[in-house]
Amino acid sequence: MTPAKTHLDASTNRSHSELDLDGKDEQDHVEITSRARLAVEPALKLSGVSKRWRRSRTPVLDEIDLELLSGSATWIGGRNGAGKTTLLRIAAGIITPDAGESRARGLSPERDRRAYQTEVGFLSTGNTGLYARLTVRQHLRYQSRLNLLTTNEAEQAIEREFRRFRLAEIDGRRVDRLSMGQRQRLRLAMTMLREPTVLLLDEPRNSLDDEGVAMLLDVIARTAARGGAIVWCSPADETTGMDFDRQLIVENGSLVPA
Amino acid sequence: MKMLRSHLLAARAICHRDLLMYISYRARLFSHLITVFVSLASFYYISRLVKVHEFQTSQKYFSYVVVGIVITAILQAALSVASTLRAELLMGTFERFVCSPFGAVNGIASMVIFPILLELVFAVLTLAIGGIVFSMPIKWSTAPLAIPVALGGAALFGALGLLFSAAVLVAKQTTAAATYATTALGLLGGVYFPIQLLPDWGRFIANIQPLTYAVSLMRHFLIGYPLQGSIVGDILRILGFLLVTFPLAFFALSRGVRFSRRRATVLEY
Repeated sequence: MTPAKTHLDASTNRSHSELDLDGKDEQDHVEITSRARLAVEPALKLSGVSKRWRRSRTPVLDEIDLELLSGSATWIGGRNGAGKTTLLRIAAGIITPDAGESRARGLSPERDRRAYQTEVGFLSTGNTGLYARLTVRQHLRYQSRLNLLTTNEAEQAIEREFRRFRLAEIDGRRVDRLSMGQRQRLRLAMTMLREPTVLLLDEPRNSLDDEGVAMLLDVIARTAARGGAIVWCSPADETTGMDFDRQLIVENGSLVPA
Repeated sequence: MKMLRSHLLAARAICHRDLLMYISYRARLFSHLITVFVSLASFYYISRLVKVHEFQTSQKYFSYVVVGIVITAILQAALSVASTLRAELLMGTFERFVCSPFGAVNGIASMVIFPILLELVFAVLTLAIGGIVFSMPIKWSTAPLAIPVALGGAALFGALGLLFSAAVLVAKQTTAAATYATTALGLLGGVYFPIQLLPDWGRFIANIQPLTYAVSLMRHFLIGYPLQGSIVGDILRILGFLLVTFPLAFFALSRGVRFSRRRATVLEY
């Protein structure tokens, strides 16, 4: 599987704004709707992001800049504790950086929280975030409501994720009776319910078998194809099974090419 | 309008989630009912020992206490949201709120609904068992007026629960504080004995805390126990507490979320 490789060559790295507005007159600029404005922004942009833990002398992230364009897939590696998860959590709007900012499609996680969380999908590492006593379908229904989907949207999204991650075979089963790989498929399905345009994955291969990995890669390819941007974080020695547009490593608080 | 509807549906989904988890443990409902029955039976026999001027008959003391414990149970249910939040943090499920368009503040606020509704149902069951099994006299002519008072009191206690939840986001551990608060509010709110028996400082605290007025009005409407003040005065006090506590609770909660996001402890436990 090779996801769409676009926009990452520095020599052709014109901004979307330039691409979309070339040849338009000033009147057209005025008529750009807010939706169009969002579409011309980078999918995800981190500017000067720094984070330091209390009682720590050195920052875990030190003025990180990262810009992800639509249709791109980026791998971020690094040793344990390097700051990969912290970086993803900042990008997901879960934690606030000490300095700098994160923007998804030009949206701020502080000022445009609801819209930001609609654009960004985050899969945390591990197998937490599920209710042991609820079934697979109950989880998806619950998550669709937290995503503020309408009843029709929710039903369509749930059926789509059931197909994508082949959840029908475990539909009525409680989570505490699922294998770790099945739980990971459910977690991925919950992340994909609102079809985020920025997909942040923290060690997504966790417990997945070959079939599960194929489902994951298919979802990533589809996300990239519809203009989404993907970040995949994992330790340096993990096999991801896909080619990335860019590969970076978190090292001493900085983001460097792998 | 569409946004309001989707928020209400999200809040309902959280209630539904809590209901599903509650009924997934089949013995839970049964043990809850047993607890109600044992509590009523204990106070029924303790009331046989009470022979004081304040309560001319044992049955009057029994009725007095039953209303008190019903209200205290609602208070406990509201404050339990703080420990539920901690459990969500432990399970990693709180992350779903933080990462969702519905949001952490709305999510936590919605978590208080199910335990309160459940306890309101059990309040009705407790009064029904008290009336049917233990011959507790209910003043049916005014009993329906207790419903809005119970709802107002529940909303007020819910706001207190949110304040404790805000503390959980910052300090992570507030179970002991919630237990102390319930005990103190119960002792100083006239749950088991009239507040007139308290020393001056105790009566002062009783008069500036909301449980006193909720219990007093509920007793008046359910069993005809005389009020110290007026109905309107007590209702206004409850409304006043609501007007102050609710915005304060949401402010504290949103500050708690912001603080823990900044400290990067929002998912820690």
